[in-house]
Amino acid sequence: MSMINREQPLPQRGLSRRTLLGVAGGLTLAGAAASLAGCSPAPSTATTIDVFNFGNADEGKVYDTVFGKFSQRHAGVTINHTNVPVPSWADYVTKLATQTAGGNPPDLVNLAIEGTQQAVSRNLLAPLTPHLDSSPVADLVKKMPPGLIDAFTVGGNLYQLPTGWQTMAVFYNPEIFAAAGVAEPEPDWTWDDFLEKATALTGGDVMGFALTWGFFQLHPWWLTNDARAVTDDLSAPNLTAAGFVEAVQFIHDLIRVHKVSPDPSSVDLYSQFAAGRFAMIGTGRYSLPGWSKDGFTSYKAVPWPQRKVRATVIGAGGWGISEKAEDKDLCWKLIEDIINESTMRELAALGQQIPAVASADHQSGDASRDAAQTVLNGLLNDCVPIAAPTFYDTLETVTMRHLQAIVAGEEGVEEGLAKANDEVTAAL
Amino acid sequence: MSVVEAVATRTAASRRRRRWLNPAWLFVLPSTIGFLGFVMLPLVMTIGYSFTDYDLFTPPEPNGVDNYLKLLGDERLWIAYGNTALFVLLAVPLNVGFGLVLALAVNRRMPRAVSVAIRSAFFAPTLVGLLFISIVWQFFFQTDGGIFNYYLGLIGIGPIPWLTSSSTAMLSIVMLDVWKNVGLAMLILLAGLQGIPQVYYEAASIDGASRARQTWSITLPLLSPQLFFVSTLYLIGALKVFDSIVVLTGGGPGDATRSIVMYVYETAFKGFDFGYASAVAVTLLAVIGLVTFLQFRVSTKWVHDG
Repeated sequence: MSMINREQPLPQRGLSRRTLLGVAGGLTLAGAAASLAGCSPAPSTATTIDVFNFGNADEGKVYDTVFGKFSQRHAGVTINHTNVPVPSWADYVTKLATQTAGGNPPDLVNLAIEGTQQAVSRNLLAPLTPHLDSSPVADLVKKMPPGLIDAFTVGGNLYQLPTGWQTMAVFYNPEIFAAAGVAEPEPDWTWDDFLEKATALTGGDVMGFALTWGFFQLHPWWLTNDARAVTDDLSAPNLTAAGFVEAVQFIHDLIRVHKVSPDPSSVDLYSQFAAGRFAMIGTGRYSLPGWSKDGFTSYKAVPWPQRKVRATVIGAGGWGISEKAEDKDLCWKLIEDIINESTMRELAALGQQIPAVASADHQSGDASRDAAQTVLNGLLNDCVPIAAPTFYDTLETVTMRHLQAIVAGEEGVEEGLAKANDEVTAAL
Repeated sequence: MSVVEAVATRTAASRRRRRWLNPAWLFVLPSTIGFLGFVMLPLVMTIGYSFTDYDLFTPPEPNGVDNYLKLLGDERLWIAYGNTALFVLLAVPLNVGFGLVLALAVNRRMPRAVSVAIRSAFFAPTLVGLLFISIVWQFFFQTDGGIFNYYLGLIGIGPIPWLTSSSTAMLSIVMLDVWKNVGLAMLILLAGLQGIPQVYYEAASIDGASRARQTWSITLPLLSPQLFFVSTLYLIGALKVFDSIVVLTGGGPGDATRSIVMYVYETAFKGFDFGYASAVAVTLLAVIGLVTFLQFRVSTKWVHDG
């Protein structure tokens, strides 16, 4: 084997244009050959379904099992399951957009309500209605909450089907209430009751209410004041409506005036609530598995305090077929395997989401958790879908940026919301 | 063709083949392919996209110089540039300055174990991922229940809204950046210090030069190549600050800490205006190029290469 003599300088040689072109041509041909090899015609029975999904690893395993069984029943069908454990909806959409822009759009996608209108307006989803009419899934869909189905319906066409949903309630620690001599909240309590209790409970190392900071998590405040972030026809922002402004003022005051809630820099509020740092917290079913796992059971759930109406928010992910999917009938068959009580029951057992049909719910055996689940399930009639217009990403990003500035005291409530409203409107 | 011509032709062909077999090409080939594929190609594509209307989901459509015209009236763009400039003005001098002070402090006779321990302590944060560190510091910086405010509270100070006030948020990010990166500056400058021959200091001492005078007239001039390298490295890094801001403040409150790279990212992947984001990215490329060029030009005045 020859060795390079480090004492000898390497010969200096020029790179001719011809050589450069030759290399470029060679690389191009090699690349083309590789591409062609990758696109070589597959056996006529071989098909791949690209699935784009979000959720934690345990949920991913449930789906892997479903997809494995599907592949066994359909010879030659391979399912390429991408399960993205993203912390936020925006991150998930970013990954989906990147994959789509890279020329590899998924065939089957699990999208949250927030993205439905957007995806349909971009012609990314195919309507499910033609498949549903003649499918056994139709009976199951009739058992699902109508509000949930409505959220996935655009222009009379159903585009997605959910396995479960999420909502928000106030959870409180009855031990902290008892220690402070404060009566536990009633289901029909009001903002004033809430503030009175939060103030009485704040002191020492305990704060009254852990305000979870997110667009979905803040929704119940304006919904209980009978206000929406967008107009009823979802065509424009509605951030300057009196009810919305009043709700944001209340949120601001919780932090800066009454000092019963931490500012948005606080992290891991769910663990801090379990550690007794907060008397109350606004959250959903997604917190319960973690609390169960940590042995935390000192909590109860109660509907969101109301101002004008009793309400809370509903969110969900739904399975849809890409408009670009080549074999939509096969994709629909896969959806039929996903949307069934067995899968929903397995997902519900993981505790993250409330199953789309009540009969698929799961009792964990943890009394606090099961009682809280019952309260959450009972909120269905109060639920209003999260504001999800075609400009959802802009709405969420701009609104949250100005809400952050408002609670930091950088902008006045009306001033900040007016700016947000103008900015979203201008972006349309 | 004569035998001589045939031999000459074969010899030339053989030389060409040998030229291709030259190991130098093999050594540079992987990095060249990487450079072309991961730097030049995206750069060219970014410039191309900057002249289009592109939302990632549907094919790009040419829109001339619309994106560049939009830059002029984009108030948030200039806020982001202002924030980035503020970060550069704070983070670069502090990193280089503290790095120099630490290097001078460490560059003295001390037990080897102590020397290694001190260097490791300052260099260790450099080895840990910024994203992970930012998450840990997020806990430190919490207004309510954060470690910093806890200890400050014990001496009657605070609570300070480290991340939720426009007057402190950028400073908090700079604090993290300096803690994270000063060790690398220290190490590079320390290597430079150890390369300065002792004979200069001995001669200066004989001439009666004080320690301060020796530092000013010997250490700093001979360390100038390393100082230039470190300041260029940190300047470019600071202009591209992203991760720590995303985790700590998300650019807030409002736009108070939003950097230009973060603005590019959000415009592209949250606003799905990839064409405009590309135009902003092109302006950043121009700014970095201009600043680096100026730095190299100015360096001829103060960097001593030999």
